[in-house]
Amino acid sequence: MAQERFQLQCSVVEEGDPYIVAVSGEVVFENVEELRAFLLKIGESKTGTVVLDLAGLEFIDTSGLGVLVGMRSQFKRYGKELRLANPREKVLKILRLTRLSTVFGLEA
Amino acid sequence: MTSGASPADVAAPPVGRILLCDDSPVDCIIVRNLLEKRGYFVRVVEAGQDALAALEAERFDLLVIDYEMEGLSGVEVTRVTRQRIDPRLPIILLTARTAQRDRLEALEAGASDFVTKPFDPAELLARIQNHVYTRQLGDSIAEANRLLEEERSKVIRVQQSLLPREIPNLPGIQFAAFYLPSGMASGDYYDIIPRGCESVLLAIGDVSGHGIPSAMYMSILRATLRSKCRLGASIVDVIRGLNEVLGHALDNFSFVTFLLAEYTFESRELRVASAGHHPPLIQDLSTGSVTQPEISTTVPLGIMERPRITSTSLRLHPGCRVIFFTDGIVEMVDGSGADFGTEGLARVLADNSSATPKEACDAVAAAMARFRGGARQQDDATMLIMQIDA
Repeated sequence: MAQERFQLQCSVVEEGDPYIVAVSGEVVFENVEELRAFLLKIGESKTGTVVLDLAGLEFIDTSGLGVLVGMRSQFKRYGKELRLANPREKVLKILRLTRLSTVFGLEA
Repeated sequence: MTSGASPADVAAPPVGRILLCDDSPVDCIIVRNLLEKRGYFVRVVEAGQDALAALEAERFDLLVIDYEMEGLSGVEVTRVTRQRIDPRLPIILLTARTAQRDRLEALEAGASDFVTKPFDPAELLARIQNHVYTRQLGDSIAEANRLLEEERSKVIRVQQSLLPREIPNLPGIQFAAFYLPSGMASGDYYDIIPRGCESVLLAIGDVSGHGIPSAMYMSILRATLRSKCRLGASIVDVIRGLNEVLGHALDNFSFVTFLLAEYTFESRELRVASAGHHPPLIQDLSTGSVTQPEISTTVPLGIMERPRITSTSLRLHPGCRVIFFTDGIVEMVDGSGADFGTEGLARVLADNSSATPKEACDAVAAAMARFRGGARQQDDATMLIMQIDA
């Protein structure tokens, strides 16, 4: 059971601009460093806009949101943009509640 | 004992403490000399019973014991040592036997290793060195863990002292709260700050992540909040001030969801401003029904330099409760992945509307534990109830 949870998968879907990455499973305190390392690598090498496709993401906690927010400002410094797309209802609810939906351009 | 060591070596602490138990005096002298030359402290006993007494009385890094002795055998001493004295002590059995069955018996009793007599001194020494090294490494890890655990409990104690120690006594208003860190120190925070005899401020916040870094940010949050709450400052001003300070203090990957409410006694107005935090629940105690009002909110603290912050005004009636909470309650999941939800929280509150605020807190904490089953609490959970008496 404990093994089943905290699964995180990041895979590159499209290498152009926008550069699209599918993030699926859960992003929580226990595995948040994996996401940070993955995004850091992309941030250093790719140009333009990076879109995280969240269609397969079931849950994200505040540690995970922290990484998204931090990476967004880091990307900005490199002249890049980090966007989110296709969040499921549960994730969208968290993004709306924290108003991060506006920060990531999901809502006005 | 003659060991051939130079005076400088004698003064140095032993590289390890070894208990040698053998009823053959010749073997004892050989092993003892071998080890003392290498800087080990060696205590020699000749009977199993004496070995147990020595292990009870002193700390050793290793027991080297003969398999066959008068009285208690090496295997029996091994078994008693493992069960009653020291489960981690490395034990090497010196044996003339090579029978598979005897070795199995000794291993089952808890022996770590064997050396067959007549033994090769180099091999015996190498095995002893390996076991002593492992033992000492284990000890230093255990010691490091103990110190870490001690530091951690100190952090938790300091943090607990940052929460309201005495709940203010205000006529017609009751408060109750629970604060459940997820094992370690917590990034959750709540506070109750009376403002003269006109109003009271209620704060609840949640630093992203958890553990000691979140706890440190929580203490900054508390200190800053207390310093910004001077009379005359509106809750929007206070949040703006907090955002400014936390924007500099927090690392890029951390933020704080925060909600501040001010309840004015005479007008019964509750003014609420939120930075990405869950809106409070409001419960009508005459019916038990629970609602969650829409309140305006901005992004969490520490993310944007100048967020647009507004507040929402609610009118409270006598005989109601306002329940502030962190996401550790409503986002908690059970074994099947279903979450407790705001609905779950509202249900427990509705079932406990005639209980005291303190009893309602206890009921929510108990319902959370039931919902989780045996699973570990993943996130810090905090709840604060303010009751306006009828």
